[in-house]
Amino acid sequence: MSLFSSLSSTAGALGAQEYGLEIAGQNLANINTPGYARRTVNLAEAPGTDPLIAGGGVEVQSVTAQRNALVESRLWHEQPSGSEQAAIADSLSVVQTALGGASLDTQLNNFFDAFSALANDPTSRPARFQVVSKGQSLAQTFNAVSASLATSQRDADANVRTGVDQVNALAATLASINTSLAGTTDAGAETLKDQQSNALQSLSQLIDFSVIHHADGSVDVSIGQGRALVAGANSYQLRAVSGGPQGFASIFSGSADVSAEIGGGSIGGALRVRDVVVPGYAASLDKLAFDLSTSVNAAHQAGFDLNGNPGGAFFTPLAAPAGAAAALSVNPAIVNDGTLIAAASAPVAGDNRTAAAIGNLRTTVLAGGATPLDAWGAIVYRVGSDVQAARQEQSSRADVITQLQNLRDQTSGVSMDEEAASMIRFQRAYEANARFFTTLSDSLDTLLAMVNR
Amino acid sequence: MRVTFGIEFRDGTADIALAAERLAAAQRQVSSGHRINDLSDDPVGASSVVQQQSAIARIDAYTAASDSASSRLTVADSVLSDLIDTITAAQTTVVGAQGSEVTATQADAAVQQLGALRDAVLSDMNTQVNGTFLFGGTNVLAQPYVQLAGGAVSAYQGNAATASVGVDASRSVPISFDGGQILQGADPADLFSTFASLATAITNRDSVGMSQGLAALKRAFDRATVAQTAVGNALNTIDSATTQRVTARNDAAARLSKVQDADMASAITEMTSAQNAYSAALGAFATVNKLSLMDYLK
Repeated sequence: MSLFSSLSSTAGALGAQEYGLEIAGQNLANINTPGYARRTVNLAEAPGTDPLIAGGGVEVQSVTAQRNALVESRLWHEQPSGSEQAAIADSLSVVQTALGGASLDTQLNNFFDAFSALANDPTSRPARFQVVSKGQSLAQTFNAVSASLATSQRDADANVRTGVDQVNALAATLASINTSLAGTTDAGAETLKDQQSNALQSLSQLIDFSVIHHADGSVDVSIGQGRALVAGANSYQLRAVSGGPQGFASIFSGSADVSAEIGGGSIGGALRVRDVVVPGYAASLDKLAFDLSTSVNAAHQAGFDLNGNPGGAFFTPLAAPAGAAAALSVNPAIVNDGTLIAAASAPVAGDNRTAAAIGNLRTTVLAGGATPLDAWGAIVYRVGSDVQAARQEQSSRADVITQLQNLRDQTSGVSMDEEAASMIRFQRAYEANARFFTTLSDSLDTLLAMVNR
Repeated sequence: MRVTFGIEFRDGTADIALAAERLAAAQRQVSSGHRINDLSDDPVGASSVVQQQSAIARIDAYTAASDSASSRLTVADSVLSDLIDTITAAQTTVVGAQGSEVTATQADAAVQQLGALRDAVLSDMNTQVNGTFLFGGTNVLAQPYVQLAGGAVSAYQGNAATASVGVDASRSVPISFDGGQILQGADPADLFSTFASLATAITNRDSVGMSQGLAALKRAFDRATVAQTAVGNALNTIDSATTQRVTARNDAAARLSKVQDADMASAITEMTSAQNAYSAALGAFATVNKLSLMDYLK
């Protein structure tokens, strides 16, 4: 082996150690980059060109991105459930705040109190005014709670639409990455795979999906019952199509409505809140409003007003439970003339039996099988219980996801201590090779000095 | 196990968030004084709060009804006492007018006395509370008895129905009274007619008429006494119901407080504990992240 060839191989070794330092720097630079997988440099002994020489030094064989495909796949599988529960918990927290602050129970009690007070003094004008006022407050509270539920549904619908846009953007990104992966170098491929992993991680927060990995690193992604979202270089965009009486978005893949097939991610959570959970509350509220107004009207119409005439409907009659809470209102004729309130069971001013009967509806079991306050209590319990369950489920899923993220990081994450150690390792190796290079150079100087002598 | 920067950061921030959430919840309990601030804090408790508040509101409604009824019954009791006194005075007057030794002047005085007593009865029976007549049955807006021209009094203008209000779930008390039942009952004529007949009998020295009149007064006295006893019973019912209501309300308020209100001692203890945990989480995160091999590189 000649001194010159040794110089050459040492120069290669210096380059290899320098590259190791660069990799450490790259790892540290991306310590906070989502989806980044820690790189390790693979050094190999360079073969010698002659059996009599020590060897060809060292060469950089490859750079490996440290990934655990099993953990990443598991993470993409768990993330949608966590995001779904988080979306449900967040949406229902708003609902519970609206319901908790509405004090419908207070308004119900005030309404029945007003009729009880009227029974104490059935000819009193102030007592009649109070009945009208409390009836209006009760109706307005029903309206407000119903509006809050409708707003929650609209907010969830907006989240569905935004989510669909995000899914489409990520699908396009993944298709583009697939295209790029087809003809790229190893180093570039790892960067693309980081981006791919990051995109899949983001997608898993939006929607549940399945992935098929190909040998070239590209992935095919499908949602629902095998609906293609990404296939090779193609992405198949989802569409949010408005429909139904409320104009809510249905999600279409091609010509198929896949809304019912989506069960995870923030989109799945928003769909569940919009189409299942909140409509359930709204139906119970509507049923309570309908049963209450029907019972009050029945008692009121069986009575007689202060003028001795048969009572009319106290609340504007409702045709069906659907939409009852939003439509509940006090009969305008009664609002304008309190003497039309029927407090009597006979056409005599001092009779108070109808007012007392309506006051006693507070503890009367309505058509729905519960007293008005118990029916409201059941709604309160259901909302609170659903929020509590969603939060517990969210917390439980978050624990699993955190564990998986930590497992992923155990393989792919960057450790400052490790990189510091790498820096020392490659720096020391660089120094040693530099020293060897200097020694070779000194040897050459000596040799050349002998020639020149 | 490799402990990376990402793991340290994720676990550290999660622990801090958890401790901060616990501190915020404890702080909210202490500042609001309520154990349940959101429905999800205790769904069963939140539902129970609705029930207990409803129970309290219902009791309060009975209290309002009792107070209203009590004021009317107290007035009725006073009026019926007056009526009984008036009938007694009439009896005394008639008895004094009996006998052959009664002079015409004394008889005239007795007749005038009966007229004054009749007016007193008329005033009593037309007593109003809050603008409604107390003794007209449920016909509370019409004057039960109207003075006619010449001093006569009309027939009963009210009706036989009475209104009542509930003072608890099972008991009710009257708030209006059938004046016709008190002044006439099963008699062929009412008390005003009795007064008129007695005046005629005294003027005519009609001892039979006076005796019949005295018998009618006795029956009116009995009816008024029965009515007053009923009023007294109603007031007793209110007193009894009030005692029970106070106990029931206290029980309901205690149940509500137990469900809704925070136990301040344990809430403050929990807040202190949460504060310490939060401080520890912050300190742990800061301390762990201070250590790095990087610090030893030169």
